[in-house]
Amino acid sequence: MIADVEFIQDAVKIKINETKIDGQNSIFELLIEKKILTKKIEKIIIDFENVIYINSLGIAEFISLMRYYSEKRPKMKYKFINVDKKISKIFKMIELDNIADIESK
Amino acid sequence: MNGSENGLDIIFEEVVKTTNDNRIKLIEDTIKYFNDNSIVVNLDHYELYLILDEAISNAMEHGNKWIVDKHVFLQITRRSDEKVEISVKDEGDGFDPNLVPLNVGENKPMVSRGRGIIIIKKFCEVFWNNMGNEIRLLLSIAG
Repeated sequence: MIADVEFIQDAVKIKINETKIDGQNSIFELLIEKKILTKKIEKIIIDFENVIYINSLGIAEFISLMRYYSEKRPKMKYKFINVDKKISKIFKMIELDNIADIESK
Repeated sequence: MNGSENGLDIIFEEVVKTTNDNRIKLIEDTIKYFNDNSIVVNLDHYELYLILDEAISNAMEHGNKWIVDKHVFLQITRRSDEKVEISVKDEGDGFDPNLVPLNVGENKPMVSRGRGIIIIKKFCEVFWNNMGNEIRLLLSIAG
């Protein structure tokens, strides 16, 4: 499984099981399959504990999720946790910290 | 393979078809060439891997649109004792590099394209050919 999905009250926690996220992981498709896009949630927590590498195509997988909600639920909150420091630097480089709370390891 | 381009030494070149396996192979072969020939640039392994990945992924995704029979051409040229250049060319229609922003821009982190180029620009000097289907990454050799 690419990721484990757990619902916690009004939030969903998505723990990524892959070590490399490079646009080939079909994370958005998994979220459709798990029907999280239809749930009434207010916060999405993505756990990057296992992720050691991400490129821009991988980042685009999460951007797809955020773009989906930006119209349907503009007040949705995002939190990225356990982010490797190098990945955190990349996220900040492309200003993802403007839309998600990024918590490094 | 060695050759010459405008009197400068081409010290490595490789051509691959557009597949995800070849994307990874091209990155790893290039880094192996650097390691085998003791070429140390002012980037750590993670950063070098990332900029190669971004350049090759852009070529395969936006240039060749993942059409398997289209090729990606990678070439390393020694520019001087201090600089080495990596060129990545695709068989796509190219684009206007002037349209690529330096930064994502406030409140625009969700733009659909351009993040790879922004990342590359943070780590090295970048040039394109006129058609926009060849990117050249100029790296400093570590002193």
